[in-house]
Amino acid sequence: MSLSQAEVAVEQTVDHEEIGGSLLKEAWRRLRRDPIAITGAILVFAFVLVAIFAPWLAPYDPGIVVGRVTPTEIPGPSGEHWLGLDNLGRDEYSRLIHGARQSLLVGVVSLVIGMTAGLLLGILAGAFGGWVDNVIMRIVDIMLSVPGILLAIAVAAVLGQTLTSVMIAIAVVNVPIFARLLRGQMLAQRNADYVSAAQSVGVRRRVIVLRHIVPNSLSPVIVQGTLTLATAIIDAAGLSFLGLGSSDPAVPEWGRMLADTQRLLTVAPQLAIFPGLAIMFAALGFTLFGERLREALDPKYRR
Amino acid sequence: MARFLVRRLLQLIPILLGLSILLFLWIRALPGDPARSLLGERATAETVARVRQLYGFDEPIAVQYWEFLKRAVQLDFGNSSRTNKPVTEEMARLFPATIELTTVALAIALVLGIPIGYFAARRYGTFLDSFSITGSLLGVTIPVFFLGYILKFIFAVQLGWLPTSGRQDRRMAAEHPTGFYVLDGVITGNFGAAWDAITHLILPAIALGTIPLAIIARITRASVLDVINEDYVRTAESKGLERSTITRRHVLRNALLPVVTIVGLQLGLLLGGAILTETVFAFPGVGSFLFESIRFRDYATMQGFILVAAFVYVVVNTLVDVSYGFIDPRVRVR
Repeated sequence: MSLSQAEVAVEQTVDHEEIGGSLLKEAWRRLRRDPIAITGAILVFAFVLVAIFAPWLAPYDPGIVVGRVTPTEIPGPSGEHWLGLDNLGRDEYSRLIHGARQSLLVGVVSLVIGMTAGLLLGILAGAFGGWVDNVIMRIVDIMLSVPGILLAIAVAAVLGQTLTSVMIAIAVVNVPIFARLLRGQMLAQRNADYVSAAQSVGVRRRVIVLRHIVPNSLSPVIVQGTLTLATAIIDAAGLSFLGLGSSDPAVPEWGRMLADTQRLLTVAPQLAIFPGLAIMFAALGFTLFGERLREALDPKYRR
Repeated sequence: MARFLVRRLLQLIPILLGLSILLFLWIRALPGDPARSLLGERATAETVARVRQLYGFDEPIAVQYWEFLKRAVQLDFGNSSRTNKPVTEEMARLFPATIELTTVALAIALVLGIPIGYFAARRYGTFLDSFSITGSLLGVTIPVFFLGYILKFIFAVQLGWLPTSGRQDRRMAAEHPTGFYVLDGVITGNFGAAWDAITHLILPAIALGTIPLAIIARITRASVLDVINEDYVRTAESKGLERSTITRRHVLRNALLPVVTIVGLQLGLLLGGAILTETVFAFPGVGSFLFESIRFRDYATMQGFILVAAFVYVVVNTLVDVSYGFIDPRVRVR
């Protein structure tokens, strides 16, 4: 067999679709076939759609009383009110839908703030090394030494009862996580061959860090970001459950909806169960997708 | 080994100092006058003035920090503005309850999590594996206060098998020499009281233990998956060792190392989760006390709790690191 014949043979046996060139293509191919990842993606997609189109989807205004309730009698699901009324006679379904908005808003904003600050610190530490690295990483250690929800409680206590303070509180919890993650990634990349190659041809350090090291360190950050959205939603619910969320009663928050109806355990248990399930499914969507994304991007699990 | 131990313990000092600075700045950042923040809204002008002088809030900031540090080392966090008793006294009264709860929660997590992770890895890619992965992800995403509510609704309200709240039936005549109710029942010979305390612990401990359970199962699974593909396991298999011997001596011994580290890190989650769990079950521990403190803006209590929780967390994780050095000689070198 001549050389050209062999090349043709190779061309024929290799199915480009199947093997895929880059890690990203490979990951995409695997995610598409993974039922768990697809379930996660559907949950996330549904949650985001509901959050965005809440005013059009909700049949009633979430802050307005639309029916009569007494402490012992709260109407459950009916044709008129799909999920019944809440403890003050407002439409539960509409409140749940508007709650998605709050959750997504808090989740995304706190993720963006926390991730940006964390990544900046991580890049500084990883790029400079030495005492800069030392100082930053000690601060990160100290922040990590306070359990997350406790740190958030402390921050929320200083900032007062507003939505912004919840976002900042959760963002603060995320800063050290991202800082440590990106620094670790950058340290691992620093001695990679392509970095030595760039250095040897005289590329400036700033360019090496920003163009080569950072982009190559990002895939675990994306995964962590997806998973962090889940914890941000749960933590935000936890804070408002503890009474540290927004003080505006007209704005429905899943955590507070659950807290406010806790004592109605025997009268109307559904009022706590609905927001609880909502928190769970929203968080589950991001977790399922993030976890499978992690495995799909990890060369170790390549088959 | 001694050098490793000393080095690890020395690393504790800057972290604890940094933590105290952070906490000090936090008190200063609280809205309003710090003395009033510590005392609460209802305090009279004289008490505020006295506390301001006592705590040295008029002094330069460095002096103030030094005073704060001195008191923190003596475990003096001032009085709770809600109960008017020293924060330390309140915590000493309530901590046994929380320790009891978190210990049982962690025990449940370990006893169930390790076998689940192990069998999932052994049957990698099968239905059992997918089932355990999905289950553990559900465990991580279900908010602990919601799980607590569901458990309470099903097992306490609907079925009536277990009590809904508290640590002990009020009608029960039980003595509490140690504050650990189960232990108290056993040492005073009042086994009815011990059993009663156990029934009160079951639901909150399951709710609190779910997150660490899910995490431990996942870490065990990943770690066992790594180990069973190692050469030394293949060698052990090829020289014809019993499956159970390989599992015990080669697989588990190596696979459980990361699990040890994770258990230390779970403590933070458990302490945070205790706030929510104890609130749902009206379980009188430091967690539900902190919840009340937040509602009443009782900053002295919050400060004491945060410092103690962070201290315990940091120290336990250092001990875990050190024990890791004992288990695995390779760690000491780093």
